[in-house]
This record gives sequence, structure tokens and C-alpha cells, in this order.
Amino acid sequence: MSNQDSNPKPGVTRREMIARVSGTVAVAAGATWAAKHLYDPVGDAGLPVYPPRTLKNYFAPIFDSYGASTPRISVAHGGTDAAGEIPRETIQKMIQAALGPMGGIEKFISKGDTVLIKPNVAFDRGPRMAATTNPDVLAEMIRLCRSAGAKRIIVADNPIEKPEPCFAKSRIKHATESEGAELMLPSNALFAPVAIRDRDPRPADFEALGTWEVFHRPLELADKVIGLPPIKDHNLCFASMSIKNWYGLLCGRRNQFHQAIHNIVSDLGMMMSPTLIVVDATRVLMKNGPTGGKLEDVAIGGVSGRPAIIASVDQLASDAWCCRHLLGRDPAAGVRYLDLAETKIQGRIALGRDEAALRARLTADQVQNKSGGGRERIDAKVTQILHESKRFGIRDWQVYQREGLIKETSV
Amino acid sequence: MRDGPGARERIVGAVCLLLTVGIVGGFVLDARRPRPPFFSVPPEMQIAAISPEVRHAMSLLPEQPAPGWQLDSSGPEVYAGEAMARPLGEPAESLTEAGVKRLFQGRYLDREDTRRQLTVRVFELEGPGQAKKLAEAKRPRDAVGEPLGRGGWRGGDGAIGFWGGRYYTHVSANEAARDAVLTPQLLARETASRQVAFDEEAPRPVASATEGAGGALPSTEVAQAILPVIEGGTWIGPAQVATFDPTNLWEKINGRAEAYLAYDFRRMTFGTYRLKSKATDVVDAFVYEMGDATKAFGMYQSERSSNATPAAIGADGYASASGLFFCKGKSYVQLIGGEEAALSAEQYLQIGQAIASGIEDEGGANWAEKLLPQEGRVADSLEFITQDAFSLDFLSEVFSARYRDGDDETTLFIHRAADEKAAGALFDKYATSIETLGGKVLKREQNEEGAYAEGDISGEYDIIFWKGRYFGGANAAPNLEFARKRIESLRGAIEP
Repeated sequence: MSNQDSNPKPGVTRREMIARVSGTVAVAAGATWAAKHLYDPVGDAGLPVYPPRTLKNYFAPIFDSYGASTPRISVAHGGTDAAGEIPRETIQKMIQAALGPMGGIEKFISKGDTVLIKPNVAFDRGPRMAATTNPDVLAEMIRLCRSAGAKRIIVADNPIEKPEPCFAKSRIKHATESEGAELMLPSNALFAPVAIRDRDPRPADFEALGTWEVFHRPLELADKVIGLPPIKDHNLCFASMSIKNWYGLLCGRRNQFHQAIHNIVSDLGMMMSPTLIVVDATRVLMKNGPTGGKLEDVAIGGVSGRPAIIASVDQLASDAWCCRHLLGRDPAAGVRYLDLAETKIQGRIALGRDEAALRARLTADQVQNKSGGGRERIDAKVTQILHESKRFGIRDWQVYQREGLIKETSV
Repeated sequence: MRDGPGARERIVGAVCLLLTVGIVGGFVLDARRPRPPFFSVPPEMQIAAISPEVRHAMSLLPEQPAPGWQLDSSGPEVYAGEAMARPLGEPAESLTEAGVKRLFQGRYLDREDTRRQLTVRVFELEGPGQAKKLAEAKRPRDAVGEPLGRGGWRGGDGAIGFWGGRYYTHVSANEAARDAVLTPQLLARETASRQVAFDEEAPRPVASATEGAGGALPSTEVAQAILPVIEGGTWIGPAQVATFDPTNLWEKINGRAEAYLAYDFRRMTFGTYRLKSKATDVVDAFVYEMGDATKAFGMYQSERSSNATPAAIGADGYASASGLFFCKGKSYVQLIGGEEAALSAEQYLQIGQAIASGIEDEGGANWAEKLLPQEGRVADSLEFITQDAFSLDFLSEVFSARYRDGDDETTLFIHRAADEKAAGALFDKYATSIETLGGKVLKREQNEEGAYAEGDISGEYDIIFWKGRYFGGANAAPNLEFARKRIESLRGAIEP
């Protein structure tokens, strides 16, 4: 054995060198790539800010097919039994009679729809006090929606007080569960910020809401929304009807809006475009609203003396009609939010009248403001505005009356 | 021993070293490109640059209370000792004697019109006791309750005051800002939300049978004094006792709260009684404590049902199909039966009398009853208006009632002023307002008892007088003669 064999000369072969250099370069390159791409110079400030949600126009799917001669308001009057009560069968007939001239429930609810019914469950009062929606009316609406093929029916409201006693005492919980609908109680996890308008509100223009936290989850799930308000006196805003009913969707410290109640309620009228309004005028709280507390303050059917159900696709006109015909008050005298809501709603409707002009204006704004997004962004904005414009909203219900778009029946 | 690195190894090593240096160096050079460091704070905002006093002021004063409004360029101001006289224009001694340690002031301007200005002044005192005293001393005579902090009030000029903890806060607007969108109320709310409105009393432990809610937790003793256990064993409760103050009454009765606040609401205690023999028969008891007995009566009267069945309880009471309502002393009590409760009037009375027995009443709430004539008075038309009676901003705390005889109708009113001078001043203001509203004073006379005037505004007649410390009249009467006769009765009932 030679010395060479027992002591091999140390050294790096070419192969080893290539392998080692390649490995080093690869590791270094990887480290460099990782450092460059994972380095976060701005930290949390760079986190994406998700834009607040916007609400759908729940009437838009029906708007185009809603006939020009189909009633905008349909009233069905009923009666009481010998004991002065309103039988369940009468309520059923009133609802069907109210919806009949408008095409029936099938006009509004399609097979497979998820329907949100929004009653008023604001207080822990029994149904007879008329501070909350009549549970019998709710039960019948649930049945009707199911008969039209609704896949899922949600009943939701966000009372000021603790929800559990409100839903229990008002019997809304019982009505919901006995008809197999889903009761969605408010909780923080179900709230979300919603952009009612895409800027801060201008109080000088009677605006109250910009982005606000809303009980959003049921609205997000719903294909169709039915407002189911009672009619009540209200010490702040004169009357609580269908537009005011949407107050129950707001979260947070909403009491601050009491100082400018007409601003907030009119914003709600603009914010929410429901599929249908079904007004519960079985019992009307004539005095000491919105809480009530005395049966003497409640009148069956209000000043009409007969229980009624009012179906409408124009919550503004129906509120004005109800104020006059159920509370016996002149809407022009005290319900300022109706005027303000009309201005705001008509503003939205007007934007969608001329698509070409709208598109041109948005394009010019984009150029002037040098904001990016291009045509895609404009298309999206145009689509949104056109969607929001598909609704009705006039305060003067007499316009509908003159055109024969208010129907009244008796059952 | 191994030889030193060979040539190849040296080359490999050098290459590796160059690569490493190049990569690290490139990274370092790239990182040194100008961009705001992550943890940097602009120099002017660095903590060390702001004094503790200003930091304290910044925590108390809202920065941007409404869109378009912000603190003026001088930022939050802090004054102590003699310097407190500067912003107030009054001697600092009175403040230091009252226990004021510092004054934090913020002036807010409307960016669209900087003439509009609101001012917030937060006085820091030794403790809640001094803060409460200062708030009460600063409260104007014509102030009404406001749901802010503790003891919140709103003066006739729109200024707001409240105390909470060791602070007394005052919010006011200048003349130019009178009709601004940001009102003293809104600004005061923002400011109040930054304070903890604690009182001198330490919170007492709440018994397990009661549930605290709202502002301060009720002590067991307080709750039992207001909503007592009914002797005899017929009733169980009260359960679910909760107390609400002006800041959170809305959590119980929502928008209706404003109606109570207008009558100087102070506290509401709520509890539920349950009939022992039938669990579904429940009665909700609401005990509203108002600023004084007259305001309690006024609130009670405003909600009273017409043609209600009188009930012999309290200073005035009536039974309804669903409960019992009465006022006594400063309290207005509502007992409302549950939907399925089939309770008799006697059962409601049992609870009502137990509650009433714990309420003090010095009488005199409805002092106008014996003055306003009975003849021709429309039933249940008597009301007590706390402010802006007949849309006149200087006329507050007025009893009024409607009178009718056939087609003739009028409304009589009466106000009890502090003294003759105050009554006379109101008379003069009202007389001036007749002309301001485009009317004409038809007659005005003075006598030893007081003064009398008649006015015509667009064909409707106002008659006013003052006598002793009372100021009264008839408002918007279509028939002057009819109104004159009623006024004659009213004046005659007042002893000078």
C-alpha cells in the first residue's frame, strides 16, 4: 500500500464546488426573496380596510315587472267578533284581500327565496297594547310566504330593551316558532357597518347617517324583505309607521338620533327599499306612543274603527295614507320626515332615469378627481345606482288615488 | 495536519463571501430608502412634547365633534389659579373657593363659517361633592332637565351644564351659532361620553334577588323603599328591579324618554310583581321621580286617559283596564298588568298603596286647580307645560286648560313666578311678543294690583295680566268677550 492510498489528498472536486456554490446561491437568493417580499414597512397601517357593506334594493327584482296599473297601496278592512276580538281567520282574509289586487304573495315571493320579515318588537308589552306588531298578523304572513315557496323565513328585530323579554311578551317569539320560521335575535356577531351614503352626513341637509352599524346578517341572507309595522303615535316624530320601523335595524348608540329624529327617519326611508310593506292596523296606538301602556290608548283600526291590513310597495305613500286614515292626523302637519324622505328617495330614483347621462357624469368626475378604476369602476357604480333607483317613493298618496292605484276592500 | 485551503477552496470561499456581502448589502441599502419608519411619530405629536395638562385636556375635550367642526387653532386650553379669570371674565377667587383646581376649555369653530363658535369648559374640582355644588350653583332658574352626566340641565339660552365625578362641564354657543347644526346638546353629549359620571356614594353591593341595570346600581335598601315587598303574601317580588337615570332612560322606554326629560326626570325604578297564586299574572311597576311635585303631576296629566276612572290613591290617580296610574309627591307611578293578567282594580290598588306609602308628599303639586275656573272647563284639558308654552320661548312652567261654551272656546293659562317683579317682566315680554308676531295691543292698563292687556293677532285675541306673583291670560281666543269673562274669574281667584 502506497502513502498516497492511506492519506488521500484533501480537496474539493469540481462537482462539490458547483454543488456548494449553487446551494449557497439558492439559499441566499431564497433568503433575499423572502426578506424582500415578507418585509412589511407599514405594519398594521397597511392592512386592507374592507369597505362597509351596502344594502340591496329588495324591490328591484320586482320593479320592472310591476304593472303601471297595479295598485301601489291596497287596503283590506275587517271586523271584530262579538267579544270585540279580531279572529285569526279575519286576519288571514284581510292579508289575502290586501295582497290580491297587487298580484298576491306570489308576485313578491318566489320559490326558494329567503325572506326576512321585520316586525316591531321594540318593547316588552303584550300584543293588546299595540306597541308591537300583532303576532297573529306575523303568523299569517309567515304562512303565506311559505305557501309561496319561501325556503327560509327569518324574523328579526333589534329592540332597545333586552330582546328576550320583548320577543316573549309580545308573543312574536311564539308566533315565529309555532309557524316554523327562524327567530334571529340580535348579537354583536350579526352586526356590521353599512354605508348608507358614501360620505359623512351633512346635518345642514337633514342627513343623519353616513356609515353606521346595522343588524346586517338577516339583511345579507335575505332575498326579499317584508316590513310588518304597527301604527303608533310617537311623541318625538308624531307617528311611527313603516319607515320608522326600520329604526329597529340600527345598532350602537342610536338614541343620539332622537335629537334629530326626522333626519334619521328620513334617512331610513332612503336606506331601506323593501320588497313589500304589510301594515298591521288591527290595533292602533293613538296616544302616549311609542311605548303605550294603557288599553284606553289603543283603538281597533284607529279612527276608522275597523281593523285593517294595508299592503304597499311605496312605504312613503302608505305612511302618509296611514297617518291620515288611521291616526286621523294630517301628515303635512307634523310628520316632517315624510317630506325629507321624499326628497332623498326621489334623488335616488332620479339618478337612474338616464343611464347615458349618469355614465357621462361619473366619467367626468373620475377624470376631474383623477381617481383610478377606469371603466370597470364606472360600470360598477352605474349598476349600483340603477339598482338603487328601482323603487317608488312619493309622499302624496292622493296622486295614487287619482290614478286609481289605491284599492280598498272589506272582508 | 490538514494543509491550508487550496486554490479552489479559496475561490469558492471568495465567491460565497462576495455573494453574502452583496445580498446583505443590497438588502441593507434597499431598506435605507426613504420611507416613514414604522414606529416613528411626528415630532409635534411626540408624547414628550405635550404637557400633562394638555394631555389631560385632550382626553376630556372632543377633537372633532361633528363634520366641519373642530377645535380652534389654539387647541385645548388649560387654566389654573388666577389665570382662570381670563377666559371667564370673572374673579378667580369665587372658583377657587368653590374648589375649582383647573379649567379646561375648548373652543370649536365651524370651518364653513368661523363666526359660529361653541365653547366647552370643564372645571376640575376636588371631588363629586364640590362638582355637584358648583353645577347646582350655576344652574339657571329657567333651566330644565337634560339627560347628561348627573344633574344635567339646559338653560333658556341653550347652554348645557352637568356634573359627573370631579368635573363640572358647561357648554355654550355664541349668537352666531344659535342655529348651527352642532348644538350645545350634541357637543355636551360628546363631552359627557368622555367622563365617568360617578357620585360621592360608593356603589353598594346588589342583592342576588335584584338585577342592576342602567347607571348606578340600586342598593337593596333603596329598591325596597321605592318598590316594597307587599305584605300579606299575595304578591311575590319585586323582581328584576332596575334603576334608570336621565342618561339611560331611553334604554327602557326608547323615544318616550324625551317626554319625561322635558319634565325634569331624575330617576325611574322598575320592578315586576307576580301574583303568588298565578304565575302569569304579573304587574310591571314604573316609579318615575321628577324634579318636583308639579312636574310629576304635569307628566302624569299629559299621559292621562280621557274619561278615566278615578282612583283614591296619591294626590291624583286613575284606573285603566290594564293598570293603575297615580302621582304623589315628586313621583309618577305606573302599574301595568301583563297581557294575560286578569287583575281587579283592588289588586292593583294593593300594590299601588304599598308603593304610595313610601312616597312623601308635601302637597301643592296642582296649585292651579283652585285658580283656574271650573265653569266651562273641558274635561281632562288641564295640563302643565314645562317650556315654550304657546311656542313662546320665554313662557315656561305654565298650567293651561281649555274652556268651551257652545261654539266659543279659549285656553286659559297661569304661571306662578318667583315674585311680582318676575311676573311683571313676563307680562312685558308677552305684550311685546304680540307686536313682534304682527299683532296689535288693543288695550293696556296698570293698577295697584298689577297690569292687564288685550291684543289681537290675526283676528284671535290674547288677554294677559299679572297679579301678585302670578302671570296669566287667555291665548288665541276667537271670541274676546268669552275670554274676558273667563279671565275675570281667573283674576278673581288670585289673592294678591
